[in-house]
Amino acid sequence: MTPSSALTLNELRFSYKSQWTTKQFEVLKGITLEVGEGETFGFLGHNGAGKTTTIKCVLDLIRLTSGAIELFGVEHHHPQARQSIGYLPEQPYFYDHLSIRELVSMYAHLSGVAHRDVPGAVSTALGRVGMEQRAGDRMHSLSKGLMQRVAMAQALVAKPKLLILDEPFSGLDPIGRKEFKDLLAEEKEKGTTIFVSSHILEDIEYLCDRVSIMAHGELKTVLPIAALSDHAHERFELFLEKEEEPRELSGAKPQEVLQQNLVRYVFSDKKDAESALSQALASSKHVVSYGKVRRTLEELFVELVGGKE
Amino acid sequence: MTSIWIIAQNTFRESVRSKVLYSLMLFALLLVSVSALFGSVTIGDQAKVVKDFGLFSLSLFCTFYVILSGSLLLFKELSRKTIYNILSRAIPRWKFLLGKYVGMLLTASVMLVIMGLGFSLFVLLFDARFDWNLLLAYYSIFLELVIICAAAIFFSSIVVTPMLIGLFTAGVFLAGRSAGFLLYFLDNETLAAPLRYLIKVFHLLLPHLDQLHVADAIVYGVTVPFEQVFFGTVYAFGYAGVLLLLAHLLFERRDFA
Repeated sequence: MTPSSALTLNELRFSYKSQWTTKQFEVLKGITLEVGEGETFGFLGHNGAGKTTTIKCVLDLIRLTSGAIELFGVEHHHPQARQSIGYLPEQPYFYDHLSIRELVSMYAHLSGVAHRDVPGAVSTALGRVGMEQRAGDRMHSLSKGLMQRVAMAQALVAKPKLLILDEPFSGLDPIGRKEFKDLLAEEKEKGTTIFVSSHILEDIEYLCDRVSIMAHGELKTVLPIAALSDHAHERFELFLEKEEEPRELSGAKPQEVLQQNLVRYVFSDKKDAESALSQALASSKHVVSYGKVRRTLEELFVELVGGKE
Repeated sequence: MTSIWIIAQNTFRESVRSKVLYSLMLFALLLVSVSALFGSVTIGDQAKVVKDFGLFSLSLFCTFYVILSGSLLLFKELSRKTIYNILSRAIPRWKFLLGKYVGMLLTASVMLVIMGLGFSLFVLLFDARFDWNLLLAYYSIFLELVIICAAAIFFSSIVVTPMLIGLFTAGVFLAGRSAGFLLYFLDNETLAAPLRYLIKVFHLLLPHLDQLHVADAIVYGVTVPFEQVFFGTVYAFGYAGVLLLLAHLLFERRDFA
């Protein structure tokens, strides 16, 4: 663990026994990870990969089978380790009969905000998610998107040093998504460490400094977002006008572009791409475009988890 | 201490805003009113009948509330996952359990105070004087609730089905109220020694709610000695403390998957 580490996972393993048989199910298979202070870290994986289980282990909601977790250098079992955490759960649900203000005040108190500071902290947090005008509404009257906003407010209310967000963009409309992205960018600017799990890879790519991709309980890769522009992740795209029966070019299969009269060829090797371009020009095919493109996170994700999403 | 109180306050707030509490209070008041009818067709002291029936209703409905809310208390937190947001903060699990316990006991106590006040005023119609002894009867019901609430928390920490939690808690109440009957078996020489020993252990383990229950004595004007009230208080809080400690040990090992 480095001195500036916000979250350290060391060889995390979690398995459980089936209720009726002696069969063991291994959910986490030795996750090792380190998130630095002030870093925005994307935690990706297919459904059932073990992301939420990992988060629950970090929050001590699930007891580890083996391994260790530290939060700002404190062993995660100690309640004080969770003193600086703001957590937004997946599909948040709150107490129906409380008003928004009462609910967020309760979480502010529980997070250790001084009594006299609670009203101000609650107003600020609600203002940041655009819910101050509705502070008196009861929780049961809220839609999923508004519930998500309240969930974000309760996560932010105590100005945490580490934000753990499980699917924060779920249930939000495009405006809400944009507002949340801006809000997280503000937090990032302030130096808050953000650990975010999401299926909306475009947002992760926009926000995060580094991402990890998890599949079947294992960490497949951890890489900086900037590395997607590296040589190892570059590829070449050739677009041709669609023919009757498009054929393979330099080993690349043709991919039809829907709604457009185009065929796309993708090459990871520059030589293959150039050879395909020469072939196309020589056979007087109509070349629409050719160029080097950066691999997207989505493509990397699909490649690493074997298309299982 | 603050976090326990915050959780208790939230539990209380949630309870007093739900319709279940008011429905139960309404039923209890209806039952108390019915006692006046029984009183009018009874030979003897009408006030005694009203008091007897009224105190029975108060105890029954408060206990029923605790069984009902206790069986759903942790179940709802777990099924709706609201517990995640609390335990993900710097709150030890025992504080959460204790907060829930205090909140439930607070709600049941407020219910008892409101119904008790209404009942005392109702008794005034028959007795023409305020019966201060009724306060002692209410206190004995409160002591019972101290134990029943702890039993509900204890069963919630090991059982996940609300129905079972409710049945077990109700079982504790009924068995506790009938604990004295086991003594008849202990005195029975015809029973085999191991069986008598088993009954003795069972008798020791059960909460002696029958000893706490002083309503009958109050209705019939028998003085309740101070020692009984004092030791009853110590016993009720001690018993509840042990149940909560066991609940904590079990809850501490639980995974919230």
